[in-house]
Amino acid sequence: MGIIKTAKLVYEYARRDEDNNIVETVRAVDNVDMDVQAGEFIAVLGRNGSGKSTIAKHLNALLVPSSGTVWIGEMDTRDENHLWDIRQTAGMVFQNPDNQIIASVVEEDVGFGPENMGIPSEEIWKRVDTALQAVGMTAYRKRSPNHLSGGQKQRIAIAGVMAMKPRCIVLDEPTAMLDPNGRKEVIRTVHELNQKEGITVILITHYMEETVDADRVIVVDGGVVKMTGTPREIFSRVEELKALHLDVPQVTELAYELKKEGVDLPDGILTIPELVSALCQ
Amino acid sequence: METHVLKDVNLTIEKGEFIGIIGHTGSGKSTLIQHLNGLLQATSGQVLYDGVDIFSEGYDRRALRGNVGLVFQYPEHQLFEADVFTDVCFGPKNQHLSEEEIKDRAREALNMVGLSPDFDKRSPFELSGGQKRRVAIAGVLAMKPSYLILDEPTAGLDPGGRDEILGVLKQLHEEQGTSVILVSHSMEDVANYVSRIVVVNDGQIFLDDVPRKVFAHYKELEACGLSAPQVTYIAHALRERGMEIDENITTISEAKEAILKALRSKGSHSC
Repeated sequence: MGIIKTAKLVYEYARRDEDNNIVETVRAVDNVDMDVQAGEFIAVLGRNGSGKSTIAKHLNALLVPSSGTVWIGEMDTRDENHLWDIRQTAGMVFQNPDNQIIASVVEEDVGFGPENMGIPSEEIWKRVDTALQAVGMTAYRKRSPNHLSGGQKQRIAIAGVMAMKPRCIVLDEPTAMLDPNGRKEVIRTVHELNQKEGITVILITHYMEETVDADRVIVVDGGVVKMTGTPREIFSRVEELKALHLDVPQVTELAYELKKEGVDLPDGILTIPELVSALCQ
Repeated sequence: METHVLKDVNLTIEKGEFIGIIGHTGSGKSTLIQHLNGLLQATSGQVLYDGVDIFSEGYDRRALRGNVGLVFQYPEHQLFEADVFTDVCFGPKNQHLSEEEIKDRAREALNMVGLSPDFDKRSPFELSGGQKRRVAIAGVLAMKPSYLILDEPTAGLDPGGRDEILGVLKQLHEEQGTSVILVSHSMEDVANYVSRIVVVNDGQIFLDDVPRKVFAHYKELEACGLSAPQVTYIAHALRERGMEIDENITTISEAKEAILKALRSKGSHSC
C-alpha cells in the first residue's frame, strides 16, 4: 500500500435553504481511487469546483469520507485516535500565505507546529534550523514575516510544515497569489524537498507549466478522476484538457499548433529545449 | 522614517486604451491604481481626470468613482446581498438613478459577463468561484464606468475561467469603448490582450511601451521579479540556433506564423 491510498472515496454534503431544510445532496467527490507511492511527485489539475481541494482536505483528515476509505501511512483517516499522527504524516500548505502565518518572527512561526506537538525545545530549534535551511530562508529567521514577499512567506509556511517532519506535503494552489518569481521560488523549493528529502508531494495548481516535472498528473472533473498519466501523456491531449476548462503550457500548445500545420513534431512536447531540438534537428 | 511607495510617477491614460500594469508583489502597482479614483490621495503631485485635479476644492469624487470603476483583488469577498441581481444593483443605486434605470443597468451588466436571468435570484454564495467573480465585476460595470481598473481579476481561476473573464474585458473594450487597465501577474495574459504595458518597480515606472518592446527587455524584467511569456523565450532559443525569426514575439499565434514562415522558406535548413 502506498503512503496515500483512497478506495472508492465519496464525499457528499447537504445544501440547505434558509429554514435549514435539505434542498439537495451534492456529491463533491465521486468514487476516487488513488494510490500514491512514497517519494512520488503528483500534480492535480481540475477546474474551479472540480473537487480537487475537497480531495486534498481528505489527505490530512480535515474532511473524512462519506463513504469509502482514505489511508495515510496505512492509518484510516476515520480513526480519531490517529488524527495527530495523520496530520503529522501529511502536512498541508494553502493558497493565501497571509492566512497561514501567525508569529511575529519567522523562526517562531516555523517552530509553532513542533511546539504544539510537545517536542522539547532543543529539538524544536534543531528542526527549525533544518526546515529553514531546506527552504533557503535561514537568512530571514529573525525577521518579521510581514516584511517578506509572497514567495518568501509561502516558503516559511512550507518550512512550518517541514518542521513537523511529515512524509508527505499537500499543497493546494500555493502559487495562485504570487508573482512570477515567487511562483518559481516555491516550485523549486517543493522539487528540492521531493528530491533531497524524499518527501512525497501532492501539488494542486492552475499553472500548467508547474506540473511538467511531476512524476504523474491526475486530472479531476466533477469529483471524478478523468485522466491520469505522465505529464507527457496528459499534455498530448490538448483538446480534451481545454474541454475540461484546463490548458497546456505555451510551448506544448505551440508545438501542437505547428503539428496541425503539418510540421513533423512528437506529441506532448513539454520544454523549450525539446521544441528547439525537434525543430532544429 | 518616511518611505516612498510611489515616486515621481508620470502616467497619462487615454480614452479607449487597454493597458496592462505589471510589477512584483510590493512594487507599488496596487497603490498606484488606488490613486486613480481618489481612494488614496498623493502625498505630493496631482491626479487629473479630464484635466481637473481630483482633489481640488469641491470636486465630485463620488461621480469620479462612477467614471473610474475599480475591481479589487478577490472582489467576490465583497458580495453581500441575498441574491445576485440585488448585489449588482448596489453600485447604480448609490448613483441615485431611477429604479428602472438601476434594473436595466444591472441586467445589462449581468448579460455582459455572461450570466443569464436564471442567476438573478440565486444567492451569490452558491455560485462557483468564476461565477462569483463575474457577479462582482458586473457590480462595477453597472455603474457604466468609462475606465475600468481591475487588480488581478483572474487570480485563483482555472484557465477556462481566466479566458472567460479576459474575454469579457476584451468585448467591453471593443464594443463599448471602455478603457481597461488590467493589473496582472500573468505575462501571457498581458501579452495576449493589452496594447500597452506599464511596468512598475520600486514605486517607479520602469517601462511603458507596447508589449513586444517591453518583453524585449526580458532580462531586466527578470531582475524586477517578472518574466516574459514562454513563447518569447522560445523565439530567443530558436534564434540562437540560427532560425531567422523575429525575436520580439509575445503570443502563440505570432510564434506559429513566424516559425512556419522560416520553415517554408528554408525547409529543414532553417536552423
